Amino acid sequence: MTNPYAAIERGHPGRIGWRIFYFDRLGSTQQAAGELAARGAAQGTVVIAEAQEAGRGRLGRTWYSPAGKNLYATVILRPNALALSQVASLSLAAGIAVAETLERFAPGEVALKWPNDIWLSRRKAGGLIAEAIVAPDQRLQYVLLGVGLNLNLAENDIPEDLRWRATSVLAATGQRCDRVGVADELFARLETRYREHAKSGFAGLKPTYDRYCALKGKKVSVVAGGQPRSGFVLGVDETGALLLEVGASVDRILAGDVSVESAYEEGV
Amino acid sequence: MAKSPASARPLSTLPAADVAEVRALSELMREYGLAELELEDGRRRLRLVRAQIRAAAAETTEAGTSAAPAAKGQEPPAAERQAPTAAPDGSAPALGPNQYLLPSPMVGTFYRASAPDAPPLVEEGDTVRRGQPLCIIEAMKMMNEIEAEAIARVVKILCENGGRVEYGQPLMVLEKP
Repeated sequence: MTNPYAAIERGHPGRIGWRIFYFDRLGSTQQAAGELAARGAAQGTVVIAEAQEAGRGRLGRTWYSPAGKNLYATVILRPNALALSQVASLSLAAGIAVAETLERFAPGEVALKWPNDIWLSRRKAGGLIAEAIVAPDQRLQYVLLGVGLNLNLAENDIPEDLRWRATSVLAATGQRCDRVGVADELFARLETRYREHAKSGFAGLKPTYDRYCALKGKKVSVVAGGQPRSGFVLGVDETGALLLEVGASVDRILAGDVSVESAYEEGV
Repeated sequence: MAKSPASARPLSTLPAADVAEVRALSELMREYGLAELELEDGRRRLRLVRAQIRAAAAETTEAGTSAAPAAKGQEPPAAERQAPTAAPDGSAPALGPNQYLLPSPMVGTFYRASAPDAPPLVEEGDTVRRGQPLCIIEAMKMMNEIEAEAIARVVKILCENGGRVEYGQPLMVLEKP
């Protein structure tokens, strides 16, 4: 089987997409990329699969991954100089790159649901998962950045019970897109945002993130560990944490499941 | 350990050259497995104690090896990082000989397994090898897998699955074989 993504391999080791491993079918791109990274694969190495048998979302939640329609990619990053306090916001920086990529194919419809869901027309069209391997001497070994995007999935291909909250570029715009072209655009945008994040952290990217932030001003509930909390989203702070106004105080949310308190707008 | 914590200076108050030196010395200590290192020249006296070797370091605020990365980025200075890292209920776990604490490198949510239906990465009593994943800390959907630095036995897991952990909070008691 030929690798259609070989055409967009560019640059030297270290640049995102310099080398693209392509598989017909994989357990998950995260798993395969993790094995490559553990064996020393250079930064920017990418794993793409046509279909995933065990596509992983956050905390091992499965991700519906049919063959030949979508883009499933994991990028190996080695941000060796990055402080651990900055690692978490790397996935938000990557989210910006994904949003900017989709903006070209579905203009005006793209939003980010903190921290890592991609929305088109208020339905989930994709997501990011980021896994960092940290040694106990607090050295970051590598980061696996996984992106799943629904591209040419027809409305009818989406399982019926997911249709109200899941979509694709095709379902949202009526237009098919060239998956290799999307990947090419994505890797270029990721490269840019990754370098910016490495240089000046998330603070400089915050205004761009704010533009795509779907939750700003929304009433949401957050489930993190213990009790659910309800409040209005003020935005994100300079570290990428979600700022939730609860009564008279403002909570900084670093982790948890956020749902918009309206069935119509709820993400997956 | 005869020393006065009052004389120890937080890393953040040291000139950059000294920070670099402390870092280099910390690397050396790790490499040769030294628990303590004392240096004196005309200018000053420097003493480093490795927290992960000396269980007693839980009481000290002196710069230990794990302080090295604090010099970069915006992490809190070493003195804070090394601070007793009391358990959430305020009680610092008692450590036996050869035992040490695994501190959380970040604020986030502590998970013992990589997926809700997966078995825990480690159980109390397990012996782990170098590089083996011990737990996961999630912050903003970045799943941070924390690995074992060396072969060790997991004596006690101090945090609850799904609970919030603070920077420097002890996650586990480990024991050198």
